[in-house]
Amino acid sequence: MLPKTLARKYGLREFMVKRYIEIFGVKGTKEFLDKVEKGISSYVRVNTIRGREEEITYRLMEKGFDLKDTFVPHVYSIKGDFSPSSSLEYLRGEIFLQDLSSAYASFSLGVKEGERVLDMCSAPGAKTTHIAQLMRNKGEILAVDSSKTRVLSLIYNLARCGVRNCYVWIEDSRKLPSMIKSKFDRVLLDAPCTGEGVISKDRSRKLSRVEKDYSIMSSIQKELISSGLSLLKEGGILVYSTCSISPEENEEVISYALEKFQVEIIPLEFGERGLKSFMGRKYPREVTKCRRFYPHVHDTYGFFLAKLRLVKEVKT
Amino acid sequence: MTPSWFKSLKRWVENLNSEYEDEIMKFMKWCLDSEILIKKENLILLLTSRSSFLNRSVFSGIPLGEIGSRERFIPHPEISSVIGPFLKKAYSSEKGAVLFTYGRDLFIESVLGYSEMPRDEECLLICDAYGRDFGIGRYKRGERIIVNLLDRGLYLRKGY
Ligand SMILES: C[S@@+](CC[C@H](N)C(=O)[O-])C[C@H]1O[C@@H](n2cnc3c(N)ncnc32)[C@H](O)[C@@H]1O
Repeated sequence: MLPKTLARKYGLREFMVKRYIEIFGVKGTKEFLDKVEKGISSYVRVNTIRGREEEITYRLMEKGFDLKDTFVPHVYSIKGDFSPSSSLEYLRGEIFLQDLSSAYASFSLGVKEGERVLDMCSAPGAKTTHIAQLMRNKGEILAVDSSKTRVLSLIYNLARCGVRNCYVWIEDSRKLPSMIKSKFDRVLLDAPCTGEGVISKDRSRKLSRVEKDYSIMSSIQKELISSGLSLLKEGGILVYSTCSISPEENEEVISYALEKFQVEIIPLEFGERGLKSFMGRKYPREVTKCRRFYPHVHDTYGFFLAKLRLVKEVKT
Repeated sequence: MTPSWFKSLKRWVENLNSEYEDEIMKFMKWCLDSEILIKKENLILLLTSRSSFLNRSVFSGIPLGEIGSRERFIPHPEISSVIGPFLKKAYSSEKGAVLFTYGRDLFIESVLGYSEMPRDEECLLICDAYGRDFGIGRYKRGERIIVNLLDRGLYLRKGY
């Protein structure tokens, strides 16, 4: 009875509520759904490619914005009477509007100046511009996305943010291993997903999905992670993330990577542990080292994150 | 052979009526000869690094603009970071700078000062009091106005 009642109350499909109850329990599901209705905080990342952080934050505060530090360097929660996206700071690329969980993904990649980095699903570039900032615009980023229209937004975001070390390809990233001979120090796979974690922003997602979408997305994500790991140097790092909380798109994909490749999961400081099981399916213990973010717990989108190290290079 | 898109860019630069036009064109020509000023699809790019990824890339470096219909050069807001150092500057009040990024012209009353006194019809880099640039405008002495030629608000207005 309860899933049906909650589904009606929050305008969701019943199967989704059943899944939430499996993850959060009944009380947690209500808290989750209440927070989704209420919405989460807004966040901005200060782009230090464009200016000094103290000066940019000072100017935002001068305009009446209230900024609070977060656990990700350069990222602040922001409140104000108007949207920061119409500020001069936004137009000059001094700030980027980006959820805290998303910024934590690019931050967790741990890039260094001068490295070679692959961003496999990069448009519209929230994480690519962040990576460039962390690399101080040095080294090289290959930013790939299969959608031509989304790549246009990526290009303009790179331009706005003053990114100079990035090459953009329009390509299906599953094909990359056959196209690129040399390997990368780090790979970010911010995979296409059901987007279940962003229903607080995009309400259409409450009803737009059907149950089999999870398994369809899951198989694409497995192909993408295989491609990403094949392009990584031995000892290299791959960060896998989705804005979904569904285990098929997350723990299951990481379990697949553990099974097929010689990888280890590096635990991250923030976020809840990955799930051990879901609806009768069990995942390897190791998978609890992955991280989950929830609106009602972390005041972020629903988000999943795993940091993998490739122990043995794949021969291509 | 100078490519036709470079001639379009040159025409656009000439139209700026800048006192430093020769320097700008010398720099552009050097970039062209060094093969760091290139055309990819219809984008004109100034490369900032070189890599084996470049061949397949649709984009890299700084986008200066695009080539539109009848080979017309349409500038992109980022061109100001490349030619800005060659242009005289007009420093605007915050309110003037905000309106400028809405695509409006700048009234002389909003100008706090100039780096050098502009000639009539000369194009200037529009900055705020902190020296941050927001676009390019044409100084019209008689009309006491700086006409908007290009501004960073395009990022929003074009829905990028
Ligand atoms: C979650 S979004 C990426 C968001 C981006 N990383 C950011 O932070 O702004 C997923 C992206 O994957 C792209 N995509 C989907 N399938 C792909 C594939 N097979 N190869 C490359 N990109 C793909 C989509 O076009 C979409 O832009």
